[in-house]
Amino acid sequence: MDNDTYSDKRIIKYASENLISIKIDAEKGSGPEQKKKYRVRGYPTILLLDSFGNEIDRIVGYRPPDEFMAELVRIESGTNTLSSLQSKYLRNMDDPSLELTLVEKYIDLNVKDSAEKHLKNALQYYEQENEFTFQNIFNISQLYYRIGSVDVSIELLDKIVENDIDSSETAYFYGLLYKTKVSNKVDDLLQYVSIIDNIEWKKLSYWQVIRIVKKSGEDPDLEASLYLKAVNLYDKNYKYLPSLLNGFAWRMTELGRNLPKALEKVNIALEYGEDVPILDTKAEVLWKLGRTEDALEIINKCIQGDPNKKHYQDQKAKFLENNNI
Amino acid sequence: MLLSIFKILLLILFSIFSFNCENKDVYPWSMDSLDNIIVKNSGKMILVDFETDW
Repeated sequence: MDNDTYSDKRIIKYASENLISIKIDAEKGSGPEQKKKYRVRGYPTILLLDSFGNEIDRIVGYRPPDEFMAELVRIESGTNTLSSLQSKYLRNMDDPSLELTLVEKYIDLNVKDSAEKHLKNALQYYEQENEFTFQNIFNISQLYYRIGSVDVSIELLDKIVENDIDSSETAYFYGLLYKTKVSNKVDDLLQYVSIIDNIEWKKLSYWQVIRIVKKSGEDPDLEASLYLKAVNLYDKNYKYLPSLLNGFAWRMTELGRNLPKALEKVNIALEYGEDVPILDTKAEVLWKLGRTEDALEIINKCIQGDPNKKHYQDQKAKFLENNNI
Repeated sequence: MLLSIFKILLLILFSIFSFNCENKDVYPWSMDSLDNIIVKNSGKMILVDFETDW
């Protein structure tokens, strides 16, 4: 964010005129306490508070300058903030779609209890009004999944399949995906993924299985081969391709598998720009491939790019130690 | 002598100008704590960026 969003002149001007801004290291000093107080899950999380410290809204994850600016303006104008959605809902409590929008906001703000309460209301409404359509129930199942109530989500998806409601194949797929997550048994999902053509479902399946296999640590060959299959499903239009390929390459160095492929992928990532962390990955791949001189050359570039980062110095020491043997 | 003073003045003015320009290009992070900012209550919205080293 510092390199582009917080360096953008429009953002700087807006912040100078309208905001008091602070950074909190979530892992140091009062950070953990504040992180707990404001229910922060990942980084970066940007909270927008009123002058009394009450949360108005939040921005989770990296945003480029244009998107960040648009979010700041939206929040300042009170559009789709929690309080504006609550007011809308109180004026029209019989509108389940409004209630579900409110649920999404509660999920974004990580207020699970309120999200669950409104989800139950919306589900009751659909059941009472006989609006048990695929879209309605599927949406609710996805929201239950997002608040961590995977069992309820699976139950709803099974109901769609049992009643053979329109698009029940979608419900079957997501049901299988979530059951795999709960049971940690990957065979059924892997079998299913081998017979479907839907690329998005294949991606979701591979990532789910990779998480399980990685966690168990029992089958590094399977993890490496699925990871390769997964990254091969993304094309150059994917916004986060360099980061994806970088992650793949680094994991392959940890697993000690697919190293020539890792080098190939990290080189593709570097075509998007000589990002120092990606260069660091390339150095590690080269070192694992036994090309220590090349690894040293690359890690020196990392040190030049970020002289204060201890990790790069440590990597260089590791490569040199290996070189002397 | 006058020329030297003039050069020094120019240098000072240039430094002030450069310093001001540089400040305008830096995001205005406050060094205050969140609690203090809330107590001071400037009436402005508060942006809190939670980050970490890793």
